[in-house]
Amino acid sequence: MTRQRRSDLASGLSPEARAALGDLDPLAARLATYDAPEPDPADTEALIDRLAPLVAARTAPESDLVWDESPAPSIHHWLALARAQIALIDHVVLWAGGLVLALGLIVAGVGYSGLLSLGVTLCAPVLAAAGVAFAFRPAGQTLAEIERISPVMPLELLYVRLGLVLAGNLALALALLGLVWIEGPRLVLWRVVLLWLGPMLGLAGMALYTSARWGTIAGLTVPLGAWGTLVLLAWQGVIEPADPQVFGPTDILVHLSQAPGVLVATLLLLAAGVLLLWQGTRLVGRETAAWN
Amino acid sequence: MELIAEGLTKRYGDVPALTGVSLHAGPGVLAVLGPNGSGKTTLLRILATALRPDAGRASFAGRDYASDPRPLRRRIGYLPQEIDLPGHLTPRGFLHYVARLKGIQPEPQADMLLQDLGLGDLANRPLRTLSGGQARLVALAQALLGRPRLLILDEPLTGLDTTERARVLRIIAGPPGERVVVMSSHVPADIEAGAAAVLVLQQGTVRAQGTIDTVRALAAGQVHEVTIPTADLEDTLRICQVSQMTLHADHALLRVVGPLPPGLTGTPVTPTLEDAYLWVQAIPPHPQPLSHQGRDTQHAARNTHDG
Repeated sequence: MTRQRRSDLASGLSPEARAALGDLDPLAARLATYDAPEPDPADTEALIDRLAPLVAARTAPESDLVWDESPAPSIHHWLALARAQIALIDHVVLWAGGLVLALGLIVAGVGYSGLLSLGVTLCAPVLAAAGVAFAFRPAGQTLAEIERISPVMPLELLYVRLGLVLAGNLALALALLGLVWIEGPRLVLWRVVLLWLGPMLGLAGMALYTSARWGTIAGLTVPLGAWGTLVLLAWQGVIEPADPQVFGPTDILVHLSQAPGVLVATLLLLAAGVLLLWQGTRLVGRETAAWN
Repeated sequence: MELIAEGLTKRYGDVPALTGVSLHAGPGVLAVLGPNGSGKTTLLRILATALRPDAGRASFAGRDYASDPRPLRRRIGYLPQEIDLPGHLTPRGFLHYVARLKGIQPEPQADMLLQDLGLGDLANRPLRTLSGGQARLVALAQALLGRPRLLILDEPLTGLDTTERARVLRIIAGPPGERVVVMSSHVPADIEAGAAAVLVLQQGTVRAQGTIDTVRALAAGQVHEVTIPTADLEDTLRICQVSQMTLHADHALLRVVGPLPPGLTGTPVTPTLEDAYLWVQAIPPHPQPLSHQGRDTQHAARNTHDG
């Protein structure tokens, strides 16, 4: 039985709306004495069946939350990510890269093409190390935190950034190969490629691992310091003992590429680089994984 | 659509940041209050999937946090506490970048959000030229990209003026029932206006949880307005917890939280959230069962949206 007071019947209505309803006393009195019939169980069941879908649609907002499992990343996904990453690169880096190339071209333009090839050989690993350290530097705590909780997994970002850095170095490598072709038969292609590839991967791996483990400053200084040491050792071990009559940029490159010790060192650097890249990748993936 | 967390525990070395924190939030705004170092940011980072707890579990709308986080992250918007944006980007460029990370079309959402937050004229200026409050609004805009169903905001109102606070609170809440919002603050007055429920943290544990009214009620009978001579002010402040003070030429009007010391008389007043916040921090821990707190909070949130 429902007992309803007149004031309740008109609650929430404006004075105008209350006036429009007229005298509610008879209705209130009728409701107060009204004995509602007990519904038949079958009627109740039928009513629930009809109301259930309506209630579910109104009160379960999570029903439109479909938890789709993540599909395997497509090539479009990788390209979109790479495009987004490029947008993050500060113009300062592009200017710095352009400056290095311009210097090389100026040197080449005054007739020392061998110096350019040596310069490119020396610069490539440094650029690789600086590029990797830069790519993995925190562009800002906020952005790092936002990236950490984005649907893009940290390892995906890592792969894209590594790909961009290595692609940049590949462009330098192609330039180097062109110079090797110009220099003629004194330079053996695979030896020069190894001379470039070993330090580049080695230092890139070192930059990634150290920046992931100890931060950006370490990621930049450790590989650059290592590269300086390698250059010094190569100079003392290979260039200084060489015949001073044949001393020149191209001769330096020829000597380096023909020295067994240097080639072994570059092979070791290459292996270490691959190992450090792998370890660094694991480190980043483990440290940034949340909950799972 | 509910956010449920049970027994969240996190330690940084030997220092406990959170100890067995449980919460239950339905659609609406759940405000997390607590002093500096109370564990607010740690809790929010865990709920945003940025940090893994040492123990405990959580789920949102039936999705367990321990499963593949990517589907969950597509529904989460997160504003970190520290705002340190890449200065060479513009607000529009930054939002485009985050939109691509989230796998959504940047436009027209990015421009609409910038307009809504009053940043339309700054859309193409480098972020390094923006003020702290403006940068925070840009960071808030990225959290709102993609109409997230779970918004985790770490002190979103810091650095904003009164007008901006009201507008931001309205934008954060969104349409009724659309999203669960968990936002932190250490300013109870900010929360009183815009939140349906509140959770008070202290030293990594939950000190109170419930609707604003429920938490206010915890301090019922414990708040008094007291008038004292100005000469006694220093002594009174030393022995009483005061939430508000008005100074006059020869006397001071204080709002004292907690039992009045002998010799001091006052008029009992209805507690504000700030009073209750001070009171629950002062009393010894007295945790309520989760089921009770959860129902209370959820019920409050629904009531708020139902009108």
